Amino acid sequence: MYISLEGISKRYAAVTAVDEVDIAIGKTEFVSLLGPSGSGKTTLLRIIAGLERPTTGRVLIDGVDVTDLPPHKRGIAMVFQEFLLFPHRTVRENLAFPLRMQQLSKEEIASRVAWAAGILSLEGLEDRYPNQLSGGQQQRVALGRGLVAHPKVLLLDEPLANLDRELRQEMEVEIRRYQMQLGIPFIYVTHNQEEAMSMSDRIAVVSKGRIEDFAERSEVYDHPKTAFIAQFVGRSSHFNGTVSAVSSEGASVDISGVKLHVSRNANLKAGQRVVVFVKNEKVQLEARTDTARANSIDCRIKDIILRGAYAEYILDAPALGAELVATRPRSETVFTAGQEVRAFWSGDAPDIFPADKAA
Amino acid sequence: MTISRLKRKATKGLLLLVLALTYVFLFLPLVHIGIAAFARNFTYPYPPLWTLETVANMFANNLYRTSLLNSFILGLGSAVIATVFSTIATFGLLRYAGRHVAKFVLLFMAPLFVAEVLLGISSSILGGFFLQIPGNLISAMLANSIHCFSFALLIMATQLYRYDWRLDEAAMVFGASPAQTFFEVTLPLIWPGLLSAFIISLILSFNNLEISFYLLGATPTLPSMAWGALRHGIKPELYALATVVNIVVFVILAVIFVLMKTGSVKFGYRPERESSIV
Amino acid sequence: MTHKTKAVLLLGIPTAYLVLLFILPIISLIVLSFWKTESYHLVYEWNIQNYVTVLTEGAYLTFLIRSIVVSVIVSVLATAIGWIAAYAIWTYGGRFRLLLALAFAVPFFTGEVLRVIALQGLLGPVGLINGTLMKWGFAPVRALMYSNVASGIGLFYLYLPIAVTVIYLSLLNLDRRLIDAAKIFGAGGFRSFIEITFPLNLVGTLIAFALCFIPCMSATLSPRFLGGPNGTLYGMAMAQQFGESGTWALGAAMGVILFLFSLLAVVLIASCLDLRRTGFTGFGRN
Repeated sequence: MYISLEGISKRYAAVTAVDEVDIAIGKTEFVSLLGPSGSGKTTLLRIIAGLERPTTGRVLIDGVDVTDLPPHKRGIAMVFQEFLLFPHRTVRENLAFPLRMQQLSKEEIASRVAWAAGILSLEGLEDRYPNQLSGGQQQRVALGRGLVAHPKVLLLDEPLANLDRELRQEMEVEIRRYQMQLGIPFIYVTHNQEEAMSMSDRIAVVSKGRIEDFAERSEVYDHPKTAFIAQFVGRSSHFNGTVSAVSSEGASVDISGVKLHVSRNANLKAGQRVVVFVKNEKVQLEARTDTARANSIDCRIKDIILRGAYAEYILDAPALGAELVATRPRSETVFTAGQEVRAFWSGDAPDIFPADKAA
Repeated sequence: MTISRLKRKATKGLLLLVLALTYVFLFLPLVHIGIAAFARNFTYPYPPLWTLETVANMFANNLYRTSLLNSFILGLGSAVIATVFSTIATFGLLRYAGRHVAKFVLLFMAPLFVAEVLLGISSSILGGFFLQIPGNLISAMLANSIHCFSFALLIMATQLYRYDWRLDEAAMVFGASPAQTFFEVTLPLIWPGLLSAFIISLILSFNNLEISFYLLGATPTLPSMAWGALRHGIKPELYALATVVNIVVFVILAVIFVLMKTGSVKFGYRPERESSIV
Repeated sequence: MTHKTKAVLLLGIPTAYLVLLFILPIISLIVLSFWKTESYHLVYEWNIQNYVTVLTEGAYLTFLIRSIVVSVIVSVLATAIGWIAAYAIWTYGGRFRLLLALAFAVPFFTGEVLRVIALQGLLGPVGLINGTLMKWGFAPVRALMYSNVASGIGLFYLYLPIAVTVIYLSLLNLDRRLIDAAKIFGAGGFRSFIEITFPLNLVGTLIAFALCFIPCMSATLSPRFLGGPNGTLYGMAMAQQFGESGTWALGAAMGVILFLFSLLAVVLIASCLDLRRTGFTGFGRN
């Protein structure tokens, strides 16, 4: 692998920010470190950058152990959440900075800066100072400064967090494109699952300094490995219950008297307490009928939130003593608030985890 | 250990060594006269023959007492004047100066860039020659306050520089009167600045020689008295005086330190930042 | 009250205060410098004789040039050492940073006279250094006794604290993460200092230099009580016109020249300075 972290830990006095992390990243991979704030993902990135020294473990880039190397000898580049453009330098000088440090020729610097300004539509802004630029423009300069360096790896620390939604989605597409163009690994730290989903090849979900899972993005979304991932990735409702029976086809779960069938059994034992997660978009709705249906619950629509092409139904399920949410395309039957409906899902929709490991 | 870590260690050692030497250089004389003030053999008190006589003499001396009182009145007066005007100026500068802010900063900071002795001489010329007012404590207060004004403004402006004035507006939106806004929102936020500006002005003008000297006529203050005595050579009482003032300044700064440490006072704007390993 | 009335009041009151107590006195100084003093009396007669005297008489020119040389040396040294001290505190001070920085303020707030007294205790013929040398059987260092070197050391001692404090305050406002960014992009420790730390603190550095240079130029105490017979500096000579000599008008002319000189130095520095290149982004919130 092109980049490996081996047994990386970082402890500050009593706090363990990063706990025994092992990750290997390929040469052309786009990897996201996804986790809530305080999970240790930024510390991990700073360890790769050389801005923090790990308490234990090694960092290898391109086969070289760089654990003891200061940042400037690692041949990396980084895009920061706060941009961190040099305020006393123009856009051109900011872009040229890493190239000057690499002692490239004037011609080479000029052509690479022109290239970056071109692809990032910064032409005409080269002689401005950072504070004369809009947030989006500053972000592009920060990205450009990372790209022109032709680093061994580009580290991105929540680079889109300070941009508004529309701009963010635009940039997601662009960032992914540059990664493929340059053919270098990007390591992207974010707490925003949509960003991680839209760009990454693989996602490492970080929680409490540990890697919960490191897998293909669809795998992380569709088959969460832990309760934490099930809760953190995607939007879902969850219920506490007890396994009532286990068979080769799955398990039956009893949730305050309501029987549900789960076709994944995840090594469950009868009598075990569990948490069941159902992703909002996997919850379907229909008008009440007398025909019986497996995995269905009678609900009343409490509220409807419109999200463009989708409608989010907030459902009150008295039998469960809980609320659940169904996200449906608006092209489907439209229900109204207050209506009595039936929510149902297929047997393979829920993710189920032992309760003691629930987040 | 790698070479770059070794180099970093060496740089750190060297910088800290210079820092340590700087402290020694600054404090050695103060410690020396501090010991001398309590020693019979005050010219070279090693080992010291301890005595309290010098300090007792100093406190018994009427001239010292009058000077102390005058210095204190002078310091207090100019600190009040400087704090009042610099508070007004801070608000004006940060909220109302708009695009003229650079011009006002230039004007308000100008006294820092004019030597103290020139301030003293100019004020005494205006007062003595043009207005025919003989020098007195009041004129010395006024002249001193100018110099303190700039320092006080600097201290308050650096503290309030990032103050979000929308807080005031927020208070008013929720129905606070301007007076209530001031006492409930603004004052609690600016009082540390006010206090440090006041204390620093007090210390500065208490100790000032060059401005006061030309405006005071025959009124003695501690610095002018010390200056007069110094002309006739060092006396142990001067060591005692300097030591007492040092201790007082030290205590005041220690109080400021504790206030700052507990977070009630901030000096300069310092946003939360992740540390660099440098 | 409207916004405008408030603006006029809040900016007008301090402006009036400064005009009355700062600008007016300086104008008086200028006016006086064009009059004459004869045997402790003012003669209201417009003339430029005072300036001619200051600028042609050898002694005054010597004082002026000597003052400039001494002030430049002392201020450069104070700024350089100030940088090292402030940078060391800022970088390695950790949780003691505040304490270390405040420690520089103690000497600064102990008036100049008292500090000169302390310095006499250190440098004088029977002071700490020479006393110790003699006790150990060495010859005392003559250079430290009432000499230009002693007077220079005195000035350095007096104004080093302000240099450290100003540079430290300037460093406090520097975003350390910019240095991280420089390192990420390939700049080593020294290089990132040259590229980022120093230019972003250039204004603070120049202010520190000016706040040393200006009082050095007008210093009266250090040369008088620490300097030797050949150590008269400009400020001391000027003060004498108002004291012993009673030649106020001449003193005023010297003051005007000193003032113009300080002004020139500030203007010169300011005009060489491109604020944009120091990361200046305007005053206050925008």
